[in-house]
Amino acid sequence: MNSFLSRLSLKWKFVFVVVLIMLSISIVQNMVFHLRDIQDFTRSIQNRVSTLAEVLADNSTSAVQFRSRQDAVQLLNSLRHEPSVRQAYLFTADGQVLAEYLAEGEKLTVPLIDIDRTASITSTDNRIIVRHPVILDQQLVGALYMSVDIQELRERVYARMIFGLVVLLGIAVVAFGVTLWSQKFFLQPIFNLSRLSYEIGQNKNYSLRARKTSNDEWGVLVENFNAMLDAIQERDQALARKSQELEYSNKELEQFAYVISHDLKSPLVTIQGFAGRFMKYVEDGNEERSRDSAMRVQNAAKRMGELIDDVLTLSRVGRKEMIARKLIDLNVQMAGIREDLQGELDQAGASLVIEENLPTVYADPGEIRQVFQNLLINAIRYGCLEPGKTITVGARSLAAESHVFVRDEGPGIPKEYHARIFQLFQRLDQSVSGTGLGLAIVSKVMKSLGGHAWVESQRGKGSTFWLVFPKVTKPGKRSELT
Amino acid sequence: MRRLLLQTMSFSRRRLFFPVCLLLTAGNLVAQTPVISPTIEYQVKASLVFNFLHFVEWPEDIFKNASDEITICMIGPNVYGRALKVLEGEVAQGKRLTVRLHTEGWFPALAETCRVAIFAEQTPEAAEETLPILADRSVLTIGETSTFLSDGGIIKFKIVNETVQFEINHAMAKRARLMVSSKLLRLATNVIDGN
Repeated sequence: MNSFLSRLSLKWKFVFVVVLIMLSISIVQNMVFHLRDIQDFTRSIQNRVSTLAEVLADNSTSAVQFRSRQDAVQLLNSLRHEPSVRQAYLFTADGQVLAEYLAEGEKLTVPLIDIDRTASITSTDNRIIVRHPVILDQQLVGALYMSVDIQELRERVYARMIFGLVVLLGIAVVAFGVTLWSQKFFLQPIFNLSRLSYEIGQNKNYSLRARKTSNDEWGVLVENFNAMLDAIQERDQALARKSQELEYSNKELEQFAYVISHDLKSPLVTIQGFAGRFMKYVEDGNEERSRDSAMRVQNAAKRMGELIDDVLTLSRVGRKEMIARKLIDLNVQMAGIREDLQGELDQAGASLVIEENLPTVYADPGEIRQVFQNLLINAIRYGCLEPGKTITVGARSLAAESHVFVRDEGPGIPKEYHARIFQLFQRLDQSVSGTGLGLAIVSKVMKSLGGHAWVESQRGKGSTFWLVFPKVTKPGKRSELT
Repeated sequence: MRRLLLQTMSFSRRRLFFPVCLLLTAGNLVAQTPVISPTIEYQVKASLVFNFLHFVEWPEDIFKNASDEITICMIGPNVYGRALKVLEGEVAQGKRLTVRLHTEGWFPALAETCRVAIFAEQTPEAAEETLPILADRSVLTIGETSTFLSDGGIIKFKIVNETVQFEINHAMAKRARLMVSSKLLRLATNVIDGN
């Protein structure tokens, strides 16, 4: 039984157990009812028969007293109306048979009975035997004997049994149907959960969720299961993000190490070469040449210093201890930056137009200054190769983002370089001074602010650098991005 | 004789004498046992008289005391002989029976004390004279003459095929305020039930 049950699925276990319970209850109930019924029926037959015997015995007093066989036979013949009475005999007090009654098919079998004042009912296998005294004027004058068939009772027992079986069958079918139908209310949630957990286990897809269909304990289970999935999914995503970041920064570091060794080396080589020449020219007494060499050494050293400064700046981007972010009105900020760059603008003969619709962003003032200085210096250096050019700073506002642009009227950047220029030490024009770190710094700062930077440019049609800031709605409410 | 009979019978009950008597009459209604002699005929009739007493009820005011007896009066010559005297001392309906013989003559006034009046076949004039007087007196009248019932008698014996049978004038019984059991009426060969 145990192993049988354990082999069944939850659904069939449920159905089996409920049907079993229903059947057990109905069997017990049926048995109790039928036993009661048969008992009652037996009692009622006995009552009926003994009443009949009493009436008949009372009625036959005169027949017995007068020894009227004719009358006695007539009386007993009235038993024709009671088919269950198979035989009846009227005895006189001295034990002689006064009259007899035999139902059809019965043979005369005169019973040996005691004639006394007691009435009795005894049951044999298939007959009830009734003995009743005939008493007249308190004197015993005879006795009545009746043999009653209990075929009727047997038929009733059989009928009851068949009826009981039919009812049981009906109950079993109904119980089976109802249980099968209702089990889904109880078990469907667990089936769903089971299927879901299987799917999750197979595919490691933690974005799946169970559907809550009821407000009972299953509902609570589903909710908790989903909450667990939420937590797992969150961790899963965080892990993926972290590992991506790690991968990215690893790559960056590799690249960084490579280019830094390469780019730092070139001024070093310059310094070494010209320092050697410088010594030779000093020995030769060639003052002019030695001054030139010393100048070159100085320039190379200066470039190295700039490079190191920029690398330092780059490494600082996004480091929490170095920055203090707050709401910054770019309109105000830009005025300061313009002042700083005024000398270079004048030198290049360029003009800077700052539109007045710049947004307020959440950032560190130093970061913002670096971004715009880098972009504007680039615009001056590469976009204002001849005087009279204009640099424009403006903005457009979208639903979730603020876009700020810096546009120049320079020669533009070929499309294939658009992605590369934001990488470290990528310089398109070696004739212009620079470290190759400016746009890398811009890109890194923007990412650190939760936004990004990109360029829109065509050869000969100037370049537009776009900065995308997340929109600030309520200060302090937005999440910290690092 | 009674004692003798009681002794000869294996049954200890005193009363069982009567069923033995009746055994002889058992055929009277089924016409099986013929009446063979006048003695036996009157023995049968006497036991029938005794049996009648179990199925006839007198009005309640007749028996005032528990000790009241049922008096059986024989009017005319005692053709029953000893068979009637044997009833003396028997009990029916809880009352003792006494037998009184009026063989010499009959005075209607005596009817007050009779509960059963048996008229001998030999003195039909006594019956004719007395029956009208007894009609309202709650006396069970038993006779044998052919006109006994039409004269106002209640139970009449007759011999058919050598068996003793009886007829009942139920109308007269009712007039006399006697309750005759239907069980007895059932056994009568003829019941007169006038309105």
